[in-house]
Amino acid sequence: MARRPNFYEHLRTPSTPASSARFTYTFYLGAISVALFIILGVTGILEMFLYVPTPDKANESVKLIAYAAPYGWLIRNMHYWAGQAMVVTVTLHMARVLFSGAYKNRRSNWLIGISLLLLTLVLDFTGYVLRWDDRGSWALLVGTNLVRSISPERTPDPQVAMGDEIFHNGTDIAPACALCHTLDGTVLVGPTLQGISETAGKRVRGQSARSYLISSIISPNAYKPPGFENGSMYPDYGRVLSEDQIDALVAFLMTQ
Amino acid sequence: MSLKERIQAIDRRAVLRGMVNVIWAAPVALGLGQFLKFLRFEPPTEQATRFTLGSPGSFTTFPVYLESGQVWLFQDSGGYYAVDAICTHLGCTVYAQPDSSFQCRCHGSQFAADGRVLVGPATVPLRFLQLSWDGGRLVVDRALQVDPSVRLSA
Amino acid sequence: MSFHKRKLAGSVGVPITLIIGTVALTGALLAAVNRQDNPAWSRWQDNPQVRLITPTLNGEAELCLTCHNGIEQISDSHPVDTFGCVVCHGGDRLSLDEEVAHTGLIGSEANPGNPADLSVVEVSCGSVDCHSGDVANDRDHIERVTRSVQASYAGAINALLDLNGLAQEGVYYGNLAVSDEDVVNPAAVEALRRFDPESFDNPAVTEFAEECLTCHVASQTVTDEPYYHRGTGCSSCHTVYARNGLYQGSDPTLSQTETGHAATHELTTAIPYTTCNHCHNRGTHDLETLTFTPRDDLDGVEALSGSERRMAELYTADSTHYAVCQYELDCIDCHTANEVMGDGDIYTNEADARRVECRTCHGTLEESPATVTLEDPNDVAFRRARLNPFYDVFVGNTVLLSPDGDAMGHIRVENDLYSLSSKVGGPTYLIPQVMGSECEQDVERQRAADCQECHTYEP
Repeated sequence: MARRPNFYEHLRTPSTPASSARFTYTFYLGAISVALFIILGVTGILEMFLYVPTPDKANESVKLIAYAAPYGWLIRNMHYWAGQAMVVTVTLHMARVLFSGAYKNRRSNWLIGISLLLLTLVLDFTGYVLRWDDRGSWALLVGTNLVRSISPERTPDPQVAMGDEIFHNGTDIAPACALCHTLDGTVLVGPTLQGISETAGKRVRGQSARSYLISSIISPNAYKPPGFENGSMYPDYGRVLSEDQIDALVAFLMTQ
Repeated sequence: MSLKERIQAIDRRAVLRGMVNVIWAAPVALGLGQFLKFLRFEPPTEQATRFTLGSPGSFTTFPVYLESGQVWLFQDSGGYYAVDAICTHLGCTVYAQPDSSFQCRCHGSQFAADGRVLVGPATVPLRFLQLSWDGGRLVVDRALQVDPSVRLSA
Repeated sequence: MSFHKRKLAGSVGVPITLIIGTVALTGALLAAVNRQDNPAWSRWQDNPQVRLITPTLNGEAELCLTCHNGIEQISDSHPVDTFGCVVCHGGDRLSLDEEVAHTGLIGSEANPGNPADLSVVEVSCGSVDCHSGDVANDRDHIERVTRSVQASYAGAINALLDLNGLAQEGVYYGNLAVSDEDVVNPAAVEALRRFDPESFDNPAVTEFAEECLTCHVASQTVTDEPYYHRGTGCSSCHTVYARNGLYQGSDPTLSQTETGHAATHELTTAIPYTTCNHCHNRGTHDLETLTFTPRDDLDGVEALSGSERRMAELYTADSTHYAVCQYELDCIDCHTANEVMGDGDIYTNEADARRVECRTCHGTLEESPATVTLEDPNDVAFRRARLNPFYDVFVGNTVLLSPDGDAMGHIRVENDLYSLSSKVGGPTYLIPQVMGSECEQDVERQRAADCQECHTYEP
């Protein structure tokens, strides 16, 4: 054992103490993780050929991979489940190494392991977001909130950003607020919402600014501001927007 | 070692080992072959804007509707010109009439020969698109709108 | 320290794990090939392939036709190449998994496949570019329909409240709360309040709510009896349902043996009397006793054909009086779109919404029917004619004018002759005129029964 083993030999050791090659000792977790990583690499590279990393095409391209491309369903499922499984096996592997004390005297090995664990978790998160579907965007929201909660600097509030998006562009089924309302004092179809965070709380006695805004969104005819009594506002926001979306919209309006 | 000796040296065990490798490699090769199908898949791309319409000699009558570029191709004394066949209202195909005006069969919009709206519901004129030559063949660029008076000389 | 030496394959031939692994890998590959070649949706196609279309309206690719392969195009004004499916039906346009693809369908609770239900119509048929458009262009169909008596059911509701002493002066109720700032017709009202049966706390109202509130275009009929099958919202009238409620089209995914489907996935403006018949002429209802007596004289009607069948389905056996136009024409040949779909005003009963009278077509002893010569190519009469496969009208034609100023393009006037082309494919009729005849018409009495005193059909 004069020669220092290279990395390949780390993966496929020419000789290993029998006691530490037992299945009941390693559970083959490291090898399984490597196998999963190879699967992730191969399927991931294949998916790269069809994935379009733009906000409006990302989800579409993921679905085309899953449903339209030959064997895309297999490749995507393998990629997804290998990714989820790898988080589990890598975590268990670290736990095994910790509890069996195998980290002792192998400081750099342990540190590399820790960084690989973190890298696995980060990549699992980014892979989840890449799908760019509802769950992915909520994951992104949670993720950015987490980052925000540990960094004291002011990053844009994602809830406000989401409300901003709904206000200006609407959703797939809800028309944009900006079609009728401005934020700069000009009047289109509906009243301007300039300074609405100041005025909302004073419109209806006993109603807070927040609850006034919510009720004005979901039942626009409950209170009609002077000059806009014809009640022509789109009536179905309560149905086409989710509670989270309405909360986001209110959070955005409260910044105005 | 001569070839004969080599062949004689192949024992039953070596043959079995070779066969195992074939058995193992065959499904993998089959699998990778199938992956090629995945790579050959062509997703619907962003609409290309340039379409080759063909050489004018291949058209017997004018105006002619060319599905490849979704345009009506006209010829007059000044040369060739192309009119977008997609209705500006909701995107149906418009049809050229004998008097060179256009009619949309979906919602009844009518357009004059120069693209102006004659009858609603459309409100925006039909687009005239840029034609160019590409080695004797006409090419239309759907992204480039031109004035209705522009002609491409033969 | 003992060492474990890796063995190379070969000491006893082949390691067992390699054999198991090879078999498992081969099995998995074969299973994958099988699934790829026989996907779940392949049963809907003879020659399975993914069918992807990119509608020109929005350029958003969709895969719906992979399964709904062969479904009828909804109408010539909504070609599938232009509109696709998702713009009206919602759902997940790029999924081939039945459940995922149908997530977010626009439809009613009772029928998720009907995007024209009034509860969702604003996000399907609606939109300012479509049927929630400008009043001036006559593209406000949805607003008109939601105000119409067919949707509001205001006639029955307010009559019931009146009968039970619950009516308040100037307050009217309807199935939906609607209001109108621009009342045109003096018979119309400004608003209907939403009829909430519980707020009345009255046994008659409660019973009415349970028994009768299925009789308007916003609600689904609950019975599975023949004749009663219909859509809701716009498709109450604009899709044709077979008498037995079975689908007869060529979408392989739609059951041909399960009731509750339209006959085909098609919209029409040539609405046959059979469509009106799904609700009207089904029997007699009585608001005092809150009972509905279905007709029992329809047995054996299938054996009849032509006008005999039409007669049997339209009129109960004990009615013997009808003028020729009442059984040879289809309902929509006389009743205009403004009457049936609403004209933008809010009425509290059907009689106020009615426009066309006998004299609209036949005139009086002193006056010929009102006519109009169509000069403006943007006139709505041309649009209606274009949407109807059975009649045409051209700029310069003179056509009949309904009492509310609506050009009736299917009734042409040439050389003092009035001719009606059926909107539902029937023949063209010459309309007899009162003027110059020996008719004993009383101009003020214009109900059908008044004219039937003389003009009756004797079978």
